[in-house]
Amino acid sequence: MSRGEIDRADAGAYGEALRRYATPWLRAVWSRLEPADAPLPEGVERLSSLIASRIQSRLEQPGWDEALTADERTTLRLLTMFERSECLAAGFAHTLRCVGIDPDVVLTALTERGTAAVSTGVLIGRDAPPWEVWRRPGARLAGHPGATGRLTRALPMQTCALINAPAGGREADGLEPFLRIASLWQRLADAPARVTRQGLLFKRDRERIEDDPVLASAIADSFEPLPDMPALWLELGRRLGLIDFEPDAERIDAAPAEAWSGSAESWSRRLASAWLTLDVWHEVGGIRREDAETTLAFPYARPAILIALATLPKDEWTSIEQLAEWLQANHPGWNALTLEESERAARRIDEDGEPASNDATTPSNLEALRGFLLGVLYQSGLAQVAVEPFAGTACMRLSSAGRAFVEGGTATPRECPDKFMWIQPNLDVIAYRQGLEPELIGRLSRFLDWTQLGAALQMKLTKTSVERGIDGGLTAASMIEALERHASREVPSGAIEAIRGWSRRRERVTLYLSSTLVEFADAAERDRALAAWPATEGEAAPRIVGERLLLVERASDIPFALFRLAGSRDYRRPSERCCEVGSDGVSITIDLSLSDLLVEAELARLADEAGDASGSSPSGGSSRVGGRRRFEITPRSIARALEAGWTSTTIEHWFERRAGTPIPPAVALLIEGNRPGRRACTVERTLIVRTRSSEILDGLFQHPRTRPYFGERLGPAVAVVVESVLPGLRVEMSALGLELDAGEFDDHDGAAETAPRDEPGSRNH
Amino acid sequence: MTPPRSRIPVKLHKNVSLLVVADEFVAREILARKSLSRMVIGQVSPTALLVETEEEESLVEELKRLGHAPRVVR
Repeated sequence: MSRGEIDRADAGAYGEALRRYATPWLRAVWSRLEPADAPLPEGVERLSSLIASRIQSRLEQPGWDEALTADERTTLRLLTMFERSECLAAGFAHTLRCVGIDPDVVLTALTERGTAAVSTGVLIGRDAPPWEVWRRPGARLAGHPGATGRLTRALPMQTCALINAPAGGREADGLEPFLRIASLWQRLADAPARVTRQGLLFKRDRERIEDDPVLASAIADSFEPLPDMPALWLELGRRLGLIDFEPDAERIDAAPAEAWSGSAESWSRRLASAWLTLDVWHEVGGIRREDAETTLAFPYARPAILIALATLPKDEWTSIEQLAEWLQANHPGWNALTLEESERAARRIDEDGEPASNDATTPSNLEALRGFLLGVLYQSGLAQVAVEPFAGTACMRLSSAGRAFVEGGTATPRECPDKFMWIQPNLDVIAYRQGLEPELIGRLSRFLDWTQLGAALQMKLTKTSVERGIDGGLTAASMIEALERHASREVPSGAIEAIRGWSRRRERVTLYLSSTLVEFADAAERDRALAAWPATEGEAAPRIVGERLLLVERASDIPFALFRLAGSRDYRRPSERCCEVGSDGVSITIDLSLSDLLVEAELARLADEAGDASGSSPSGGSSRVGGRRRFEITPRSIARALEAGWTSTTIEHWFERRAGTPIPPAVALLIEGNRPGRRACTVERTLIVRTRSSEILDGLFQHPRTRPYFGERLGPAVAVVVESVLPGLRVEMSALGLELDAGEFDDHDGAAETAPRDEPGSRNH
Repeated sequence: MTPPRSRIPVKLHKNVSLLVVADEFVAREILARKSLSRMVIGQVSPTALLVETEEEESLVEELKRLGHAPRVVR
């Protein structure tokens, strides 16, 4: 990348959108940025990158926005309120209409100049330019990351009329959403929720969350109830990165505890941004049904309302009714249920010239607006609410945090006392909200259960909560230290003992589901590595789990600069063929660069170690992490494997899997040798019978009286007969009128048998 | 970080499901219980047992039945 170009990560959604423009559209944008005789860069990747960086350079010049119209500046300001400055274009058109801006004019101008980009998820081809495509269903809009972040205040627009200043405004601490999400985070940390492939919660988990007394309880400091609260907290938690939705794993889980880190101000901004643009939840209707095909319109009116409040002079108030009238004047479809309805209302004005008559201040029209102002804005701490003294009307204005969010400034920080908790001997913990901020809520949530959320908060220290703390990387000492730091009185000894006892129990058995083991040649090398291992805050130290092994929770924590990698094995992949069988069938050599710990465990049962194939001792030397090791299957080792539950089939499969060969006959022989009461072979004297013709032998082999006396047929007229059954064969042949000339064997009178020893036909091959 | 004299040769075993216990007695207790030992596929040290990943839930349940409070690190 040459100097002045902007990389993919910096350009974000905007860059991704540009890269999906057909070349003529990129050239058109470029021509507006550069003089006509400027050389035209080649390639979509390069061109889109250069466009992004040219705009960035212009934005860095003072007064860059003076060339923009007031509407364009306000549009960019509004766009920054969406996550990654990216949103549904149709929804954003609704936002613009609500503040009285014509989206057709502004969005066309901004996309033509490249200050914003349009994305449809696929290539925007030559049939229509992006500045027209944004009107298509599903099209998305992304602002240049630099442009949208530079406006520091909204430009004046129609200011809401002022009303009498009410006495005494109320402002929420903005902690309620965090407390609720923290409670949900705990529930999921203790037991993740399962979801279907479509992303719907399983009934049992949905009921568990919906019926949770803490999550669903009414908010103590509230003007307006919030519908579908548990689902709302779940959705907000996901957007804030505190709750992980893993579609592949079909589960919703608590994010790692580190996700709670961040300053109070940054959390306030993140919450405001996530809630303002939450388009699957409505202030009256609650969470949108998963199968709904329409898009809610009111969520896109929220940024517009916030901007309207920001235009009020500081310390002045407005009422819900006045805001509604202002919105109505800008866009008669401001309160439409869906974006389609909003669009129809806008079209009616374009076609007929005047809006359908609609009283903006009827109770039904005010419901959603009331829910937003008194519910969302109040609970997120962005607005203050007061009651107008004469008419008893609820009045609003932005709080310091609200103004900071809209104007991009800094909110006045809240004073948080360090000591705000009382720990009872029965392990209940009472806390005052004044001492809390989101990061601290997250820290306490790791090892204390929220049991009641109100003006004062109640938590409980339980076995489960302490175990959760240990699982999240805390220690007994760190939990006790946190309690001591914030407790107004001495922490009861019972609480300290309970934490220690539960922690000890928890630490006795640990199940690592995807750990990384670092294997060394010997203990000395392991200790050398351990001594040089850098201690990093937030990373768990490696744990010794064997003479030559260190356990690391995350592979990314390994200081690779210390090591030379002799081999690597991923246990999620099928096992490797890492064994070679010797020509004797019983000696096996492992290639240690390909082997895994399982093969060693398997061979420990199946074979005995016979020494190092490279010549050094079997128990040491660098061959342990890169050479070859030799094993031998012996009668004793086979007996051990069979004793441990291996069968001949298991052993057959093992050879196929690990060596890629069928079971060697020598090993099959050893298995046979371990079968009690079964003779592997017997010794007998045998005679050769030669018939005059092959037809005679065919007949003898087929006839039921003579067939059992014969063994293997060696040729057309030659077969084997066991000496001891010769007299019996003679008798049977005589009965058939056939003479048997046995020559010198005729006088045999030893252990003569008149009948074959085995079942008839068993000797017949 | 003190640089080592030379790079140490190592072999990495990634995504290993391992049950690490406090002492040998706990390991023996686990191996002696049939319902648990069938989920153990190898032993890399006296206190570290290789286990079947797919058996996570039943393994944890069995350990709890045995009176342990296993910590699960994902």
